[in-house]
Amino acid sequence: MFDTLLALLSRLSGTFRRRRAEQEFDDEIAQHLDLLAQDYIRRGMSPQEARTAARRTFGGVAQARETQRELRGLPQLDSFLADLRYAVRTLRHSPGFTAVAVLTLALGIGVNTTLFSAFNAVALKPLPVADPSNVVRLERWFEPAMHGNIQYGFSYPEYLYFRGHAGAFASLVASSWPFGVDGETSKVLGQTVSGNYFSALGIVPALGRTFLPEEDSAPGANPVLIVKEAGCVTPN
Amino acid sequence: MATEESRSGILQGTLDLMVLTTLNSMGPLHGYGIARRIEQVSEDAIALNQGTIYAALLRLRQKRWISASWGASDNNRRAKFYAITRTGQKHLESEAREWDRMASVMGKLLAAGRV
Repeated sequence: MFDTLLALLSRLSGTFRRRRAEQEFDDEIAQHLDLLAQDYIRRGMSPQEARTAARRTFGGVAQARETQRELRGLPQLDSFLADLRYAVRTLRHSPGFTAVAVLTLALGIGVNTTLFSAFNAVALKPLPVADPSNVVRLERWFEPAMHGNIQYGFSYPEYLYFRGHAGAFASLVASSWPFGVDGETSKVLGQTVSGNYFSALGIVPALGRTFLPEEDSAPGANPVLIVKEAGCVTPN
Repeated sequence: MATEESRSGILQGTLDLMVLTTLNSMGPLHGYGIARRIEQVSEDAIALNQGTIYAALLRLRQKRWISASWGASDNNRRAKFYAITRTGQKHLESEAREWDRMASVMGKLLAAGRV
């Protein structure tokens, strides 16, 4: 976006300089023709004759101007600018069409940007763990049914079974769907995760410790909570 | 007096060299001055379409062999004056040597052909 603007600005300044250069060249030609004519008057011609003779000696003025223009600039750029001017003129003549076109473009670009940002956050950005390229997600899908595919979660016993039998992975972690936790002042989102969640993914807490292996020995025995930085509050 | 044919025909690329050497010997000049000088030195053997001088001047400027600045002309009007640059002088030297060499080779060849 910014470079496009810069490119457009430099093109604009280029045409500005060009107009000035053409003006200067016209002055130069006029001066040249005057000096030539004066020379012919000194040799005894009438002013009228002298002017005609000067033009003849100079050769084609228009041709000289054209040659200068060709030498000075980029013909492709010229035709591009001519196209641009034509487009702007046409758009100005039909404001309704312009508005619709601009709105369509704006909407299209907006939707694309939004979708990409979401996709980028979900799928393209590396996970914030120690070795993101070696993390895979285990999913279970059922055959297409009337209401489309449905993704079913695993039960805790199923997780334990897979953890014991998944030889292809160094470790297997589990996490629940996010659920709301009612606090005194606000509602926060939480997830229950398996005891090896942080150690297996290589996530180190900013403060304190993560789950200890012995805290995972019996279901429901050790309720341990880890809070996100933004959720930290002073206990009282 | 030269024929019409030889008056108008300038070898391609030689105009640039004529302009360079004129500026080198005369100092800064405007376009008309350069054209007049070339015609005078050639004793009117060369009658330029004087407009073509400006194409040569622009080409030389783009190669940084000459520079241009606005000044006052003899009749006290604003005029663009052209001057040769250091790189222009260097180029002129080597180009002039090349011309001398070519001219002497051609002279020898033509002399040998006449015998």
